[in-house]
Amino acid sequence: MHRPGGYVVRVVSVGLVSVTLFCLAIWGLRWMVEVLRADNFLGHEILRVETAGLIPEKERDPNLARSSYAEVRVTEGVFVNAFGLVEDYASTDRLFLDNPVLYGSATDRLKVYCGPRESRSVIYFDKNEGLFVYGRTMRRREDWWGPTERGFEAISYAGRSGIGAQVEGLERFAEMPPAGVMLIDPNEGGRLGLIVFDAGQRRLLRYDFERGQMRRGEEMEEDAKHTIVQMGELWGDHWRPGVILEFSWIGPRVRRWVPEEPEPRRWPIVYGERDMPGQQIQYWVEGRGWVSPREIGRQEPAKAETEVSDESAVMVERVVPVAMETSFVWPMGGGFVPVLTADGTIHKLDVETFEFKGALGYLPGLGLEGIAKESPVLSQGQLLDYQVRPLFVDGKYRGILAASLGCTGDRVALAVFSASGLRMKQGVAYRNVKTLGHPGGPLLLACQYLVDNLNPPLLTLAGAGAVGRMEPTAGQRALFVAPNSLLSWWLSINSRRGWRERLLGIFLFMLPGVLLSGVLGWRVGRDGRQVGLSRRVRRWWVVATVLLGLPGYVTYRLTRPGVVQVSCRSCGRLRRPDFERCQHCGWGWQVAPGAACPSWRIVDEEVGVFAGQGEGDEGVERLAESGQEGESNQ
Amino acid sequence: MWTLMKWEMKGALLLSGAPLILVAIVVVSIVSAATLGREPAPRGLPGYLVAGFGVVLFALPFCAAYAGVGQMFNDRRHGVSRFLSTLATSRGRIAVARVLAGVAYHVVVFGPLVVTYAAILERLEYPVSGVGRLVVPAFVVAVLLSFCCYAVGLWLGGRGGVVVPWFGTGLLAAALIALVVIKGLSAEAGLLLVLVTVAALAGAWVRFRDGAL
Repeated sequence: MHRPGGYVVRVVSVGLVSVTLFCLAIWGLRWMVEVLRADNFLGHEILRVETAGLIPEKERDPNLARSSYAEVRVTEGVFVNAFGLVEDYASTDRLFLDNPVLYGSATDRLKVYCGPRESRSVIYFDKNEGLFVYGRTMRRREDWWGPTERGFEAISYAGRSGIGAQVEGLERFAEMPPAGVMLIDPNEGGRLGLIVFDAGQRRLLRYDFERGQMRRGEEMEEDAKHTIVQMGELWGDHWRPGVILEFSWIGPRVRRWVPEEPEPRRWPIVYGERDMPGQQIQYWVEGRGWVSPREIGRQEPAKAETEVSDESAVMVERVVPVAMETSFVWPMGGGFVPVLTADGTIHKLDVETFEFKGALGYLPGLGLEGIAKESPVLSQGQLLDYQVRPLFVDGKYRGILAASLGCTGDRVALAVFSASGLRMKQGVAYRNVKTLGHPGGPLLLACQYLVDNLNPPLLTLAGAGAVGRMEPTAGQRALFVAPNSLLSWWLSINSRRGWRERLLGIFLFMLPGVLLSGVLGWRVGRDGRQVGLSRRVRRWWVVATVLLGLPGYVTYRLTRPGVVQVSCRSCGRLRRPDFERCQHCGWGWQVAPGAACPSWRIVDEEVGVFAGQGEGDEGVERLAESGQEGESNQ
Repeated sequence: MWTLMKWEMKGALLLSGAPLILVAIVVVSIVSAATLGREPAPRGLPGYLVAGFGVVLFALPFCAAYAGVGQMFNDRRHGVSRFLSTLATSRGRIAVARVLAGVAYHVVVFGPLVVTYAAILERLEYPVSGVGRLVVPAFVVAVLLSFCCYAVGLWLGGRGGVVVPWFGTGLLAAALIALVVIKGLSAEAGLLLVLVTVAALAGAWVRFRDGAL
């Protein structure tokens, strides 16, 4: 017999599980299509922008073969980033470092800041305590592979109220605030310091750990221009810089006559790697020491230009790099820290006066002329990844290179800013546009269109509404709400169109899904009538199926009552035997007074079902309906 | 309640053997690697801890799911609930005892693992707290995942036949593991797992309450 509440519990349980499973499957399909489409975009498509104006004196050479350029590539990491467990592993693995000084990273995600190597000083943010911890790593013993620095000695703690040797009495930070490491008094050898933006107090705090001092700045205005979101090295909040956007700068090349090498140059042997704070990973190469990945296998510039000509050697013309010293790291003791504010602008923050000393540039917008019109500046929360690199040539600051990757991972922009903060050049690449131009691209786009339309319509709409509101990495991992659908993409690049056009676009993008849901809803309504669901329950099912699409239909099929109906003795229509009362007339198993149902029926396939006395036209219609249901059930 | 729990545990005992052996192998392996082997690699987490956790995350949920199915299968085959309902108890108490048996199963399976991981991470003396940063967040999600699979096993195991209880449970367990792979060891993943667990337990309860024993 039917028990109260049981049906609802069953429907909710099955519904929740089927929606979860279905969304998982859709997520997997979408991910797969994205990876296939990526073949048209990643690796093959490198966005390249010339940076000739940054170092004019180096490029005035009449023998210039190629100007300098910056390039950015979206790596396969954009898809690996979609798996939260991978990031958990990578970030946890690097958090548990034996030796943070040697291997530590300065990303906010790891929350480990390192001082000069010889000082072995380390600052990290302790999430549990809500405080910055300053201390030193300790050398323990010599192992067969060399000295092992193990253990950590905490010296002092820093909170919102000051510095102390104990955690007690210090006001804690609710979460990791934007912070940048710097050297205090660099002319006197320098001490490791930290500058922090406390969003609660809206003040800058500067900690001098060795002297146990904290300096508090003036209260800052409460607007996006004065809200600091990141300091120091500016890149997306991922477990490792460069995991999604691979960024590089190639210097100018000139033609030179050089002695022909007697035999082809061999690739150097790489012995190990290290990851210094704020720098690219470096490799230990035989005979060269620590070098960047770009330098591996490349002829040393100085050697190329200052070659000593040998009269007996055969001279050949080669394209060689111009000799110069480059750096892509902000100096720790430069007296300023670069900061990114909430409006996407990059400022130079004076660590002594706590004032912004001019804009260095901004995170470039992703608008492509003729396709999208949007702001040229993007904020941090709108991007899946970004990277900002300064360019120092021969010790002189030349400008910055800034790259942005759209929140849906399909648009990338690269901009070059001069030393005065003026934008010199910018390039933008679109995946969806490029996909159409590649063989098989339209088919893949069609696949994504179909996969998007398999998603429950309600969740597709919610996903479109979540574009720009959801943290991009969370959006990649979102199971239920998908802000990276084609509809979301279309809406994001047409944000300035009128509501009628947008509504029409939504309708066209969702048309197959809505049609499918409509058909399924109709089937559910018809089947619900046949199995004896009441009008109210049927209405709920139809609405749920139209909104949820396939998972709603699957839930209905798995929970529909599997009972054989019997004729109601009061109204004559088919009723559920597991209900105490008829779902049509509300009477129990007793016959209602004056409502005796005729015991006979005439069934005619063309006309319908007719019943006997007292029912009138309405009764005939109702019985005709029940008769059809009865036939269907049989 | 203890008597009821003992009856319920008997059902899952056979299928609990496999995870216990698995856990014993993992514990012995990582303890021996940590004490007898060479010092850990000079950076990051030791590989044996990561590999051990891989077993925890990818194998134990299947074991828990099939423990739940086995419990229900044993119940139907030997008429445990039918017999228990002749005693002075209710279906509600039987269902609670069944879930408590599952909780006990998870304590027995995960307890040694948590203690081993915590002890090894403390011994390795990392600058940050190994227990706070790794063991707690990782094992909370792992236990929730395993218990969720157990609840799904109870739910689908209550159905007759072979295909849905055995293959359906495996499929659902795989999907739940995929959910954790996508969401990571986050609070969001934990919340979703709790929701699915509640849904599965509610479904199992309704089926047990309304069905014939």
